[in-house]
Amino acid sequence: MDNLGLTGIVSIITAGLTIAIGSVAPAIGEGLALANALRALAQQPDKANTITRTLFVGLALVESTAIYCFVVSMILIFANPFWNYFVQNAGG
Amino acid sequence: MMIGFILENLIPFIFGIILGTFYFSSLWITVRQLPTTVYPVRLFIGSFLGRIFVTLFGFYLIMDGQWQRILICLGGFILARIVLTNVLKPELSNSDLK
Repeated sequence: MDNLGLTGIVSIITAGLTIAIGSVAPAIGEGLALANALRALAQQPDKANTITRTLFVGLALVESTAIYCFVVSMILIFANPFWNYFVQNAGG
Repeated sequence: MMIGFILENLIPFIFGIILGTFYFSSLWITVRQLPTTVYPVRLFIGSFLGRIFVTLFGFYLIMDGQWQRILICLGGFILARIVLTNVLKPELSNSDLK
């Protein structure tokens, strides 16, 4: 197994693991946040403005962690910084 | 040389700001409709899939094979998030805290 093949294998496996873990954890957090916000809305409908604004700020924070993980896995798959290095070394 | 460098890095940054504004303003519209809708779960999942598809496709197009460009674009995206969350932050009054 040469270095180029190893780089490809490790990159793809790491990208899959990154997006798997990085999507499950924000999904759990977002589900909890949404469920609790809907419960609060059902109990206090007159506070809907404050609750939805707070929910928006929280969801924006939670969802961007998933975007970070996606960006990392996209870099690993489509624009791997180490790929060109190993291609040059293999080419001699 | 310097102007070319700035222009080359400014374009992904601006597109990142546009993508972030789109993503978080549609999140805001979705969240605001939650109290009145009949199907909150359906609304939220549909909105999430639509938003994330457009944003990720935009990221892929902007990246264009260079990993620096996607990081700059992510910077613009985060800037849009900071601005929007500050604009839409709830003003807590004393009656809200009780």
